[in-house]
Amino acid sequence: MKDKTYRKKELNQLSMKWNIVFSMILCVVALAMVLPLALVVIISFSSESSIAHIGYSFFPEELSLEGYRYLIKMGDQLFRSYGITIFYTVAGTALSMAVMSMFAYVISVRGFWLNRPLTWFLFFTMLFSGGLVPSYIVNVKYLHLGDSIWIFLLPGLVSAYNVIILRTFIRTTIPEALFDAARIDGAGHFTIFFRIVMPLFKAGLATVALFNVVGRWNDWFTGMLYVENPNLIPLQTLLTKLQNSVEYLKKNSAVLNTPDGLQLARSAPSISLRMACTVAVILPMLFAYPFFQRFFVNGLTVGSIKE
Amino acid sequence: MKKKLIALLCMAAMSVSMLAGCGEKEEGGGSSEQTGQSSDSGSKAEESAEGQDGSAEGQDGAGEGSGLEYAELDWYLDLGERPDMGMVNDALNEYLIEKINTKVNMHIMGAEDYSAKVPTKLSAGENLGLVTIGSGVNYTVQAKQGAFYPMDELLETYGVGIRGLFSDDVWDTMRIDGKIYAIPILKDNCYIMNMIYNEEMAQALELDMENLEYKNWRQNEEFFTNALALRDEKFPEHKGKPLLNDITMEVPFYFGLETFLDNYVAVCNIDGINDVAGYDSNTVFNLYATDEYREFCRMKQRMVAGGVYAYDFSNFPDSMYDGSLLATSGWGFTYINEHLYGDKFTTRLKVAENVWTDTNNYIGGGTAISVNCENPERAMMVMELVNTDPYVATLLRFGIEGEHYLIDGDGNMTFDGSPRNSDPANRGYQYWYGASFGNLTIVDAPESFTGPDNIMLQRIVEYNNSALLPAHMGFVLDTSSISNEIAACSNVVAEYSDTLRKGQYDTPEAVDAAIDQFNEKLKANNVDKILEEVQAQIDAWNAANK
Repeated sequence: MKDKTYRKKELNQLSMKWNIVFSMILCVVALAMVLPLALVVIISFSSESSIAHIGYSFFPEELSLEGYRYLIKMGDQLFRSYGITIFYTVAGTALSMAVMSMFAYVISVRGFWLNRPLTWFLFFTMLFSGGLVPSYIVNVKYLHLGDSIWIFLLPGLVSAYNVIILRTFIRTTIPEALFDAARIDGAGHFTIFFRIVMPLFKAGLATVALFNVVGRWNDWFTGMLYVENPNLIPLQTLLTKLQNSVEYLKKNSAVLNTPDGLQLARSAPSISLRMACTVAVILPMLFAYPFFQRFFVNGLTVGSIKE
Repeated sequence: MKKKLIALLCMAAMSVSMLAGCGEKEEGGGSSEQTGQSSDSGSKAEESAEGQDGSAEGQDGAGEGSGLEYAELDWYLDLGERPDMGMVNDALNEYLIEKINTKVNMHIMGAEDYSAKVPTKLSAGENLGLVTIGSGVNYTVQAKQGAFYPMDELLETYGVGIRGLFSDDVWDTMRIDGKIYAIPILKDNCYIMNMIYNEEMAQALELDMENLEYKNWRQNEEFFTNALALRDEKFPEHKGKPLLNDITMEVPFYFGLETFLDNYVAVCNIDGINDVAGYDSNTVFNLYATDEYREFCRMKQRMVAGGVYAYDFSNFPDSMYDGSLLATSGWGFTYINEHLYGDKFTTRLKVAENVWTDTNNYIGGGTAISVNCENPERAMMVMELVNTDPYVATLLRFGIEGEHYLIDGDGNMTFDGSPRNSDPANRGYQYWYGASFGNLTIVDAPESFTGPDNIMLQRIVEYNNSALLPAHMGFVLDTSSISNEIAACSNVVAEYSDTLRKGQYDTPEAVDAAIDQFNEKLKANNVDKILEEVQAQIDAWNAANK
């Protein structure tokens, strides 16, 4: 008689059949997320004539680097814009997180007499905004931030919504008993903030930091509105200008009553350039996301007090 | 105690850094930052240094012969960036310093950026110097909001040449509340509608294109239908391809009407054209409700079904260049290159018999002076040179001789062999037409652009002078009381007009049904209120002006 080896079945283990079904569903979901990105990359390497003839396809008729050649023509300007964008994304996020986390801590402290007024002050800014022209007047005429690196750092420093997220995170995940214990041991607010709150705050900080990074990285409007110095033009603004200039050229080909002008308008890469710009913008984010992801999967609190 | 001290110091540091940003920034009539920017956009540090040296010269004493005090101002343009903008800006400034001791910082940006940036700056009350109107900068709206400097006296004193470029009728068209706030552009200021045809195909099919009557594209259905049959027989390789290219917009390609909105729910006839029967030039009507519009839509359906026009032109991306088309439309051409679409065939031009103008041809583009400009007199002097000096007009459009173009042995301008403009895909500096710069007719352009002896520009002036005027030249509709109805009707127009104009219906009955539905929906969305309001405003304008 053969020995039967029994596998110990765990309580929460799926059967093989359901495992396969769920795995297939998740594969489809994963493909639905990856394939559009793959298509964007493929289109960026497709020729305009291929796109005109067969549309967007995973198998273009003809490959072309024309879109990337247009990008590379920008030369130093492209790298400078990358540098500016990376700088203000990293520095702006760091500054933003520093200010917002301190604000969130202050309004999370129970019993602080300015708690309600500060929270109301924060909340009030979410109700309505002055609009574009008042913002422009404040930023340029009074704060003199126009055409300087500070326009990318200061105006978006504090987001009321994110401060509320952080405050809620502190209140719901960090037990009040920890703060009491720290105060009993003689800790002041700075000590509590840096040595107790911040270590336990990582997941919340990472989440908000990610929102911040993505928002700053994608921002083209600030550069377009406030910046004229070519040394300060960020990546998104530069690529938007490039796309607009090609579109303008194509639309105005009728005005150009020269064969050169028409041929140029005909051959100028429009869609492949747009996709090449998308790839240029997405690449750094593809590297940034895994960096933040590990903070999401870590535990939230290190056990110190059981309640 | 120690920690409290540290906390206090931190707060003090934060407060000081906040207050530091509140200091006054030195401003001149164009800051050194902007000077650097206009030169640096050419990515040439040498030009930047030159530009600043140039300004220093101007500041030390007046430019040669001008006897004027040094001035500096900005000029905002919507023509899109070029690599050598800074270089040409510096060359312009050398000339302006010599003539009128003035330095201009050109801020040339794409139309999209311009539309977002400049209206914001105007609303914020910034001193923008010279401002191009048109792209996102609505002349009427901004003038009424007080964003521009009134020019009447400036034109009489410093802009005499500009004043003489246009008739009094045109200057009256530019008046807002009795004052002139912008200089219009002297270019093709009228609807010069064209038929551009393939000469070899016309000859092969024995078509008399020269004597073909052409007032608009609603004519000649039978002619083109027969031509299609002939072409398919003579050139079977083109069978299945359209004979005519996609021709957009009911007005001005198919109808010559005076329009007041972005669509045609409220239009007037023009005396001398009278494209729609039963209405005089002072009666406002809805084009979409007319028999002529219905017949136009039926005609398009027949011609699409017959293959004269394609059902979907995106299926024929190369039709303009492969020699399969007999003709396509053009707008504003008074001269064309013989091989406009490549070497496969010769292109010839016909100009429609109906040539007319309207208010928008003048207020739709031009240059204004910002109300906060520190030296509006000097701004007008700059404009006087831009609009009357051929050297300046040519420099602004084609760049610097020897760098961006060469003059060949026959005295013609050429880009071949120029250090910075010889590659058409990679030109350092070229703006053609460069309408936003101003007067086009004084530009010294290559023969391949404007024909021998600049015939194109001469004809533009002739057409401008002979164009039919609408009855309400200078009238601008105030849409504030009917904005909701206009938005609602615009949605209806967007739903139906494109498909009808493209003839994308299977049968004439389907066309009729669509037009009936179209007009029912327009009625339901208060098109009658729009018509009443437009009529009332026109009647009031007539009473005030005649």
